[in-house]
Amino acid sequence: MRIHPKFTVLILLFLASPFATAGGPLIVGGPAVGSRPAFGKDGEPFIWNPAKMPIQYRVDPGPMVVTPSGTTVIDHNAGVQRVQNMFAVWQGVSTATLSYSNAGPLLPAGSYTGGDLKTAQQFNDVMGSCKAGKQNPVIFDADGRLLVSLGLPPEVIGFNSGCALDTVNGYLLSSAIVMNGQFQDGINSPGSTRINLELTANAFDEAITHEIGHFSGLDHSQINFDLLFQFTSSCDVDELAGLPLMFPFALCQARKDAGLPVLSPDDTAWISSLYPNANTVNNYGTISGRIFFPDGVTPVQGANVIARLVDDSGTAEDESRRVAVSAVSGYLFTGNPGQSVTASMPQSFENNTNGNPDGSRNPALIGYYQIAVPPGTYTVEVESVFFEFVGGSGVGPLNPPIVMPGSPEFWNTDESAFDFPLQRSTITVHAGDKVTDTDIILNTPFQRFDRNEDGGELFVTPMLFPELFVEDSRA
Amino acid sequence: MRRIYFTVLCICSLLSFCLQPKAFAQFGARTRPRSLDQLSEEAAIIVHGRVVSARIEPHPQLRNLTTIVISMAVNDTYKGKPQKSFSFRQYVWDPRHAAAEYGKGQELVLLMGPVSEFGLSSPVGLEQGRFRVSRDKAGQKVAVNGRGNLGLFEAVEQRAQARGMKLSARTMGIVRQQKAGPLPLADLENAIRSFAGTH
Repeated sequence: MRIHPKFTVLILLFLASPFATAGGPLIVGGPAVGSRPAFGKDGEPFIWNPAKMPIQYRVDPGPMVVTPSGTTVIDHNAGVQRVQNMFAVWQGVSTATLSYSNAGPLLPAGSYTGGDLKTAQQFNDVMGSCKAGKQNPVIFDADGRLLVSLGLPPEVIGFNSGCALDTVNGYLLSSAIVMNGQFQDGINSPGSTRINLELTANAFDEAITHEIGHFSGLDHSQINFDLLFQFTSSCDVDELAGLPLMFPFALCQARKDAGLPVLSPDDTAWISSLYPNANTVNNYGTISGRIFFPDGVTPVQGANVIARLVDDSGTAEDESRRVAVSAVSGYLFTGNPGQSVTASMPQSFENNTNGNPDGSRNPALIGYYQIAVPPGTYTVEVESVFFEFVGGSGVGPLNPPIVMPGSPEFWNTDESAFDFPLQRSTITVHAGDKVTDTDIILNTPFQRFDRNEDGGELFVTPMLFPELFVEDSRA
Repeated sequence: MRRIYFTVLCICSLLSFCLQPKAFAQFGARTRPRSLDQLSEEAAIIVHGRVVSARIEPHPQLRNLTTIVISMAVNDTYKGKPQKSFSFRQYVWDPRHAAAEYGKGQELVLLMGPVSEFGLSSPVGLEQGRFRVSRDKAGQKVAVNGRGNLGLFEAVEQRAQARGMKLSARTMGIVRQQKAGPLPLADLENAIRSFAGTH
């Protein structure tokens, strides 16, 4: 794949720019601002070009796992099969048009002339070709030594690194995945001088499948986050069923080990929303609306909205925990619109006059959410994004997240700033339905996020008082 | 007077926010959770300080790899050779989420892993070894890591017993609470020093 020269600058812009993500899509396009050109398509997620499916990835020709003494535990062919199975999890979503194929071994680049990629210099050169849009590498760090040479700790299971974007058309161009084989070498020595940690095969594969979710353009999602506070590695199966694979932290037992599909309803709904096919409309309807401050006019960005299937009392399972799909309000709007009063600085890296390139500037999208759900009867609720979902663990456009003003609450047909938070109405969604205006008015004395309006409010920030959020979220 | 103080505070806060470099976060990494005793033992150096500068630049030799170079003014060294300032270079693979993790002026406790042959290092457990320090409603300094301190003390007591490690009553109290969320900085320091054997 050859990158048009005009994209080069844009790719560099991508590599040098901070982005807010959005619950659902990883990157959202934004308009031209000032002298800065448009960034993809305004208010639309960056995705792989559906006309160029399958997405072609290339695999490290070396073994997937070797022990520290050099004994191969998982050879190349078995490793390739594992990788194919992980990609197949996403490709298997019948309501999405996404597909992947193994295009063969890594392409030579600089010091990397082929064979097992082992050194930081080879990694650097392959990443260079990824950033040039030439390949989507899947790299086996068979014994974890590559990560050590990159100064990374042994707790890193794997990561995804987005390499290049087509910022004219709003497409993802190239991306890389690195897998730490040390977690599969059969050696568990957490206290030794050379720490070697282990995971079950299913837990490892699900961690990398999470990375493939990012590779495919998905952000993190927050559902059933009360699991964070259960202090057990064996979670309730109903809760686990609804826990997105794209949840920011690895939690609980592997989904497969609990007899669950690798993807939760939230994962399948979002990948279907990003890559819809002819089946999508026959299997999903949408619920949309806006989140408002108590005035019913001012929109709230950054609140987590969840549609939950109403529990069927005739079954042993709790469908309300199992079938849930979320979106963050304002996920299509920029998390950083910039401002020219104090942010006009001489150094480009300090100048925030125009804000971030990503995300729409359409004010109608500030509090807007849209959730695709399978047919059924749902409740809709709103809650804060967990205060520590910061930086690499971010959920939604605000990073760090802002404590949602007011307590979590359900949507009801008599929405007001004074309704009872647990009062809920239900929404029945059929395939192809578009249920709009499911607006929630928060119950809070705060009228907006502009905390400089009130001296006291400045001190109530998630950075300073994160425990406030925890109390709220448990309510 | 209160108004002037507040205005100055507002301006300083805004400037501090606006002057934050566009640092990148480690988005898209999956890590295995570890407890504080394990993280403390794993760390080569543990410092408490404030970020003085954070800049993004390519690695000097590995030009295709983006790094963030952090300089800190050190208040205290919990493990390793005491020093007044501390700098490190971390590989960052996803250039987004500016300044969310290493904001200029941010007070941090960092449990840092060893430096690689390419001069790169990271907090142990990535987000787990990076504690943000702030003040709670009572004005007490509290610290929370990138996992919200979740599971920070899991099985710590059993491991300490197995190793014959004697923890102070204060540390044992924290360990037994098993509470997620912000921890008093003094308690975190006490626990780290116990686990790192640097009391």
